Amino acid sequence: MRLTKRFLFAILFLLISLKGLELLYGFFLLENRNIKSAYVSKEKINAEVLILGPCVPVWMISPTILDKHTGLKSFNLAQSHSDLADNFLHLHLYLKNNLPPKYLLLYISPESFDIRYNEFNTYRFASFLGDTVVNDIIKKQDPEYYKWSGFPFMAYAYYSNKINFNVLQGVKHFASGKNKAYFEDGFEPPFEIWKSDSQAFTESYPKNQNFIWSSNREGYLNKIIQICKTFNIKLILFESPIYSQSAKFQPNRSVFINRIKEISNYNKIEYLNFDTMLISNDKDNFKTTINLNKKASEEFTETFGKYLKKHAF
Amino acid sequence: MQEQIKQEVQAIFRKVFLNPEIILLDKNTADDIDGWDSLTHLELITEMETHFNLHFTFDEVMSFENVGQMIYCISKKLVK
Amino acid sequence: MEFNTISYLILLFSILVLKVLLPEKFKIPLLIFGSFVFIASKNIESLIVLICLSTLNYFLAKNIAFSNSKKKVIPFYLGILFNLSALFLFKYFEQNTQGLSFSFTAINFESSSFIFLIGLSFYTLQNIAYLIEVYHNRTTNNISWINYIFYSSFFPKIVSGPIILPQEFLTQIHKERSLSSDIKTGAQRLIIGLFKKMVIADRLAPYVHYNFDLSDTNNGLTALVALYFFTFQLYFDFSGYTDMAIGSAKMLGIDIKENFQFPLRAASVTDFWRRWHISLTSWLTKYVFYPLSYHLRNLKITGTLLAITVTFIISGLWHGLGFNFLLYALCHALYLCIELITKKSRARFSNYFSSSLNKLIGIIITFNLISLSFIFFRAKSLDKSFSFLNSIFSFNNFLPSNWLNDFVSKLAIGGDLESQFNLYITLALTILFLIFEKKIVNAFLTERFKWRYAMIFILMIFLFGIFKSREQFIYIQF
Repeated sequence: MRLTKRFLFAILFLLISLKGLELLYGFFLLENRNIKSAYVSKEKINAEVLILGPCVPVWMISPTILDKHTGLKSFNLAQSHSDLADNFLHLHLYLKNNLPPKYLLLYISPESFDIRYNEFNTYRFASFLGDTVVNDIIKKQDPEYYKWSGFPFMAYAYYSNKINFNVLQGVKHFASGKNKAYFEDGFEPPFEIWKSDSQAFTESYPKNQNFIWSSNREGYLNKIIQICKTFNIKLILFESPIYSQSAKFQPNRSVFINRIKEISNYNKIEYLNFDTMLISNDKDNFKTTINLNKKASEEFTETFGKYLKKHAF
Repeated sequence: MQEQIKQEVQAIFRKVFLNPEIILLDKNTADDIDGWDSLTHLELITEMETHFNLHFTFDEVMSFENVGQMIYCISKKLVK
Repeated sequence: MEFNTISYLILLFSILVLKVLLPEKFKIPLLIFGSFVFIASKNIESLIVLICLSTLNYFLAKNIAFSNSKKKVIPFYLGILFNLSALFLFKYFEQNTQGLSFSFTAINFESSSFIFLIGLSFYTLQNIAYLIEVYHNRTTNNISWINYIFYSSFFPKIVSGPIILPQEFLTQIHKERSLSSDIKTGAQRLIIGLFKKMVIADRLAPYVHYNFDLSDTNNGLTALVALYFFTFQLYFDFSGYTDMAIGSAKMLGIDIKENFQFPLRAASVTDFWRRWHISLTSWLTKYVFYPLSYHLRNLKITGTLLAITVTFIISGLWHGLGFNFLLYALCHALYLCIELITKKSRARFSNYFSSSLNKLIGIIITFNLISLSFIFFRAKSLDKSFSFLNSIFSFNNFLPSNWLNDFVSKLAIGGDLESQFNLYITLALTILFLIFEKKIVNAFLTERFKWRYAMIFILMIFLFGIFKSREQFIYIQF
């Protein structure tokens, strides 16, 4: 009898501790200014131009350079390794706390529609569980996680290696009263040491590998298109320069480009394709086949800004 | 007789395990004597066989649980 | 169903509750039923093969026991042959579908084209041991068929041992036991095992996977540290599994013997084998090494050396039919032979130092020697093993030229602060556990349940455990 009592007491103690930890983790994750989702849902950014997409735009487009040409205030909301569902949720969380931007620049390439490239990073939204939009998408993209996330603290324990560090950083930001992110405008400059990495060129596109169209990804693009219509945001799709030699390893690249064009025509949105520019020809301008290095990124952003001012804005 | 065999067995133990301080008790097992393991067990057996000029069967070798059983087995064989 | 899944905990808990509620006579049928559910949840073929092989061995053993000494030779050798061929076929197909050796991480573990027969390598050894014991009249033969099935299929030990004999197992069934003490000590063991697996082994796994399978160019030090990581991973993985096996069995009222005895504290390779995978070592000693060395004893030391080598080759073949496992086994045979030959000179040499210093030197040398042998155990191919060995012994490229880029980032799989943080947490947990291992284990093995410690360990599992990308237990493949 005594054992049963103690056992029940222990279970109760565990559940309470876990619940307590859950509340603490949730609180400090939101205090972490370097997590974009937390930052944009706490800080009023109210940018006029938003940049969205995976690693390519986050390391490429500096709002400082862009704004110089467009005269508008922009913010880079892109996140590395993110797929369109991930992008959509970031946009959703941004719009909950900020005025809608005038323009949304969304990076789109054939890779965006192939599930082998980038992914939905559930852990970035762990502290936003409870929001119905967030819940719906997590349930769809990561059902196993969603199933467990109801158990006290499991929403954080499940991806602990992606969470613990951010919580500690959140504690630090809370204690020091920090209110700006390390990358204030969301742009993460590429490292100088990034020189062309020849291995990444050959390995990221095995010979004659076809892209595979994912309707799941297309669905999230449509969701982004819808939310832009609702908030009256002008959506512009764009692709930045790719290494010109890499296109020949991608047999159905043009098919994918055409499909993107069809989608943009159907929805009457602009699609700007910069995949061939002068910088495309030099391997040294690239870190991978699609990621530009620092110098080339700056060069592209200048061109992009001028073009937007002249033709799109 | 038993006591004398024990003295001789003790001498063999001291020689095999390189330890002149070993004092054997009947209840000693491999756990009590440093170095007595599966690798040295057969070396010990061979030394006994040459010293007493006798032959152990495999079942006998496997059945020794302590020093006492080993000495008892030797004395039984020597009487015969 | 793996031990570190919630479905296993549910199964264990339900069986436990039913065992308490149901009358004594239902105990064995209930445990058999639980085992069948456990095995069939992996695949139904495993269950069918297990029942067939156990039944066959059981009746062969009966036949041996009731035949006279001349006649019993036939069923005995038939049985041994049968078990060995089952084992060989299993290993053969395993190798042909998996390549030379398995990939150790869940990411690359594909056994789709191959029916994975759970525990076959382990219960085959048990069956062989049983036949030998019966043949030599060393065991009483009054086991019923149902009890033999119970013993063979008992789920806490079916996957990867420990290997035990039926008499050690079955004599416990009707002993009076204290239920509450069983549950308490068993649960403590289970928690420690879960901690070892989820918090240490699985945190180390990606680092090992990256440095062994993906990264080709490594400086010596990085390769060496990655190798140490694997030694730790393997130890915590397998001993964590064993803790969970022993703990689960204990909760159900069965004592299973220990399989590990602080092996990383061994001061010689000989000592290591007394502390590592003890049940396999004792099986091999009893049924391979002793008979061999008995028959070769006239060759004096040469006979022993020969017996050691053959025993290890058999151990290597049991692990897998590849050159990698063979080399792993030969490595250890070589170590043991050298230790045996140099015993006298080492004893003389050690007189110059204090005994604690001797022990420390012994531990460091042994740890490095066994780690080196694990290269063959872990690397995906023979080529890979040698290139790994090559990087460790590349003395002009031993130290990294840039500590952050070539050492920390390689080990942490990334140079960013988060990756470094995760690496340091993993290291701290591993090293702290190893330092306080004796204290932790002693505290957890006692009858008195340490509620406080149990809570701390459970919370640690939640804080630092790996739930996603669950690693399979390494020894499940053997």
